[in-house]
Amino acid sequence: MIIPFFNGLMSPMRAPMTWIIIFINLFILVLTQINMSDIQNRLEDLAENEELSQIQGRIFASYILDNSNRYPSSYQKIAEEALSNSDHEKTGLLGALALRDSFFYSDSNAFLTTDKTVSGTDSVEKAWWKEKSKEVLLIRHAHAGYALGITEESRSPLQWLTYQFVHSDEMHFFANMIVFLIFGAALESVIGALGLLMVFVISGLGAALVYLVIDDVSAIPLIGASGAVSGVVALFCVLFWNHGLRNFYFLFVPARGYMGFVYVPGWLVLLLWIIADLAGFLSTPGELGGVAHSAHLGGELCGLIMAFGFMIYFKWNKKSWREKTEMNTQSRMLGATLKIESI
Amino acid sequence: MVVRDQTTENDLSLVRTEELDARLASPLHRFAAFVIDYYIIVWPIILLAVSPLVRSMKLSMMVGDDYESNVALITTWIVGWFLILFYQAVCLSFWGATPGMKIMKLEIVNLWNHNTRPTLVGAFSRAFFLSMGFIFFGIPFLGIFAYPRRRAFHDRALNTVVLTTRSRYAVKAPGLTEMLVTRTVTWMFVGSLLIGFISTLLYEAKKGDLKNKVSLSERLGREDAACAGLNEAYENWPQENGEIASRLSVAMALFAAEQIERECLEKEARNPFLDEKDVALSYLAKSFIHADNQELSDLYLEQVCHDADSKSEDCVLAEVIEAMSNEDYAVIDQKFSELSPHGRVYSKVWALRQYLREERYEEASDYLDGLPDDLTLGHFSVPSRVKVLWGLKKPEAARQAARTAYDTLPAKDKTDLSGWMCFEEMSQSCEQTTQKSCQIFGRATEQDDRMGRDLLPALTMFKMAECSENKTEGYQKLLQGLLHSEVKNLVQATAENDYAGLRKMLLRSKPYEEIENEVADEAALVLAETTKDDTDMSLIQEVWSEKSYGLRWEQIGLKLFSFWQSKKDWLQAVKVGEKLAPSLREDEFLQEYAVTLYKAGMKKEAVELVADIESMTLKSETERQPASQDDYEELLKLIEEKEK
Repeated sequence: MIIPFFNGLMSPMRAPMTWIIIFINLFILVLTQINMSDIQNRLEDLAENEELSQIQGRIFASYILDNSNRYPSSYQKIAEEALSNSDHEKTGLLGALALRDSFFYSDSNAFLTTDKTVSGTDSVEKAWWKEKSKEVLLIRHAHAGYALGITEESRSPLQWLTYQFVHSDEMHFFANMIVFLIFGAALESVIGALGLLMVFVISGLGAALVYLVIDDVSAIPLIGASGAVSGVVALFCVLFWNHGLRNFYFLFVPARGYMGFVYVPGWLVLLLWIIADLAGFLSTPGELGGVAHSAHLGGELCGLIMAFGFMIYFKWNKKSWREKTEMNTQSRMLGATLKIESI
Repeated sequence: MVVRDQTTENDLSLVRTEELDARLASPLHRFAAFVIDYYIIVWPIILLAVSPLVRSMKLSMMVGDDYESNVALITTWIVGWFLILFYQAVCLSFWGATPGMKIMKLEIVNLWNHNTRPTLVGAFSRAFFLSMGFIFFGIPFLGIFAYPRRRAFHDRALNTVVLTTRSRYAVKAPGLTEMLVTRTVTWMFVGSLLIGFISTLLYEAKKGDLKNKVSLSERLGREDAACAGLNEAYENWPQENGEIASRLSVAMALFAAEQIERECLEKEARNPFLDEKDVALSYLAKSFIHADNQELSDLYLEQVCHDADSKSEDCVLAEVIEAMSNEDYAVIDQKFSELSPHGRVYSKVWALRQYLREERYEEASDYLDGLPDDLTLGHFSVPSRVKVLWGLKKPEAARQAARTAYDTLPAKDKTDLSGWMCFEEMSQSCEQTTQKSCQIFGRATEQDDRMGRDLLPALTMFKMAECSENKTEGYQKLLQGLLHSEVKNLVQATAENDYAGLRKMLLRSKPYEEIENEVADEAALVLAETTKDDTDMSLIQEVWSEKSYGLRWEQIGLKLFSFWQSKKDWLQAVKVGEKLAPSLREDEFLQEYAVTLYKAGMKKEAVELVADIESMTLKSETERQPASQDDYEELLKLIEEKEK
């Protein structure tokens, strides 16, 4: 187990902007969790409704076959099997996928009013599904994740900013904020509070841009600070690319020598970070979703670009940021990759 | 290849041990090198290399393509394994150490010649044995603590030893205690793994065997056989209203008779080639299919009457179901009475089930006639016929029908029917426990001790305990076994003479709720039997007055009637008798009721009733003698004198 532990956890006095950003995220999390629990429960109830899932799956299957140019062959194969074999499992899967689909919900009412025959679905089911789909849209409208996050059909300029401060739950929040606290605070001591804010926001914007360009955008909103945090990490690692960054290690044996500090150069940290996201992006089909690895990659790309900007800026101003930092690093690990200090 | 560690005392002449012993690598440093190699370097590379395969595997799993997902999974493992072998082989053969080892200042040398590093083939083989260590849960790595020169299995296999280049970090060879402890732990671990492995194999073999049996019976019982049963029934189905019945109509009847599963009905209701005249019926069927989703089910019910005539059977049944979900019992009764006993089979089956549930046997008998034969309707008609005969107070005919049924019914139906009959027999008298039904049910409970989990078998078991010679022992035995929770409370309250508990159960009575109703009836009977308190009897009467039919209802009524008579509270007895008389048309009771009327000062009503009794011929099959025959004779004389 290896945890970055540059200067420990820096206080709000030493890293004010880091803590302000964390508190803004926390405030929004508390606010959304208080107001959203009922809405979230209703949304989950609808998503778990077996009848709705089956009927929606059949309608979605017909919709896919009717718009085959828009869907990959895997979708078409499932749709054909769901309709021709009355396969409950596949119909249920399509019902769940329909909730993620950007086109289906906006198009489906028009699709159904064209008196389209949906195999295995009668007028009562169609009418009931229409009511339920309206309910889903209404709930989404009132849901913070959808109102503040970025989706295919909803991406106003404000949402590009707000999505970075919304988290789905406590775990999502803590995972992002712990990394941000470690890297953000360390970076703030180098580039200052405004610099950190700028990096955070620009990385977030870049993350959303890459996500919208290269990923299979779904109706499920993009939310969370992870894209922005990836930018902060990337920038930090580039600035300290050949310095040993202090990490705490623990080899699962509570004895002397099995724990201590390992100094890892920034380039290696960044490389591992990018590989993890790239592997995640390449291994996750868009239709299954989950973590938006493409947004992480976007954030990292932004961080890299900004890092070069900072390096040029410091060079022109003949300043050295490394000397003025409070960072606990092993300076200039040229030639060495890792250095270990056991305790 | 040398698998055994040969650097024992015999080899000392061949190996310059002093140099080796002074530079043995620390296990901690080796572990750190391992972490660097596999978690920091190899693992990310593997992740990246196999990511398209993982994507393909996830997609195949989503589509449900087991073949493709298995191919992707195996390929992922092979690629990962190959990368580990490649990494080790290249690094060791070219540099004598992996990057992790280099960082930790470790190197690998040949045991016999310290200046040579492994060849490419040797390094590849060492990597192969190292990877085997992962497969065997890391046990081979424990060799570091158990062999001289700290050589794990892969080192011993290829005659290598891991040394440190910094002698100050070198560690000593393991001592005797360390070696002994490690070897003991290793063999204990291996032993546990073997035991676990063999046990798992045996368990899986047994489970697989069971699974095969279950899956076969499940397949036959649930889908194929049930839907095949539909095909068979359809071929033999009688005409309905002079027309050939549709498959959907047959499926509805079989579903109502609990002979096919919901999935089977759903297939028929979703048939795209459905006849136009069956559209309303398909909506009705779908309301049953979506019974768990009231909103959707109600929409279908609305659609039934929208597409069909309001007087049609489908529409009436739809209204009945709607009334049931709204617990509007008056409407349920009224609508069922609108269903014709000569209609389609599925409506007959629903009506019959409803009237049997409500213990309204006369109405039930109207719907029983004209049902398809027992085989076609899958053993639904026979038990229903037995119940109707019993309810119409034809016990001998019912017993005869039951005896015949026991020879043909499947085991489960046979147990259900015998349990029902035994319960009814014992409700009449404990002497009836010798009847065939009770013998069959008794045998079934001995074979399956979980039977008491269901309400009706549990109540029958309670009755059996009540009729046994040693009641206390019977109740205790029941309480120790698996028993329906409500019945358990009843048994406990009865065993402990807990009147408060019995009163509580009595007050929970709901005429249309099976569980509460049955348990409350039994609680009322126990209370009426054990307590002679006026307040308790008034309470029983209050609850009893809310209903007006049923075998248990009649029994409770008779107990109340006798109680008030014995107390000479003629007015209360008249109240009970007045409610009982329309349904209990038995000479003995009516005579006693006439006497009670007379004693309560209601002479005119008594005279009318006597005239009624004398004018009609009642056929009573019970052998019970009236308790006050003399009183009735006296009353007749009085009336005669008065008439003169």
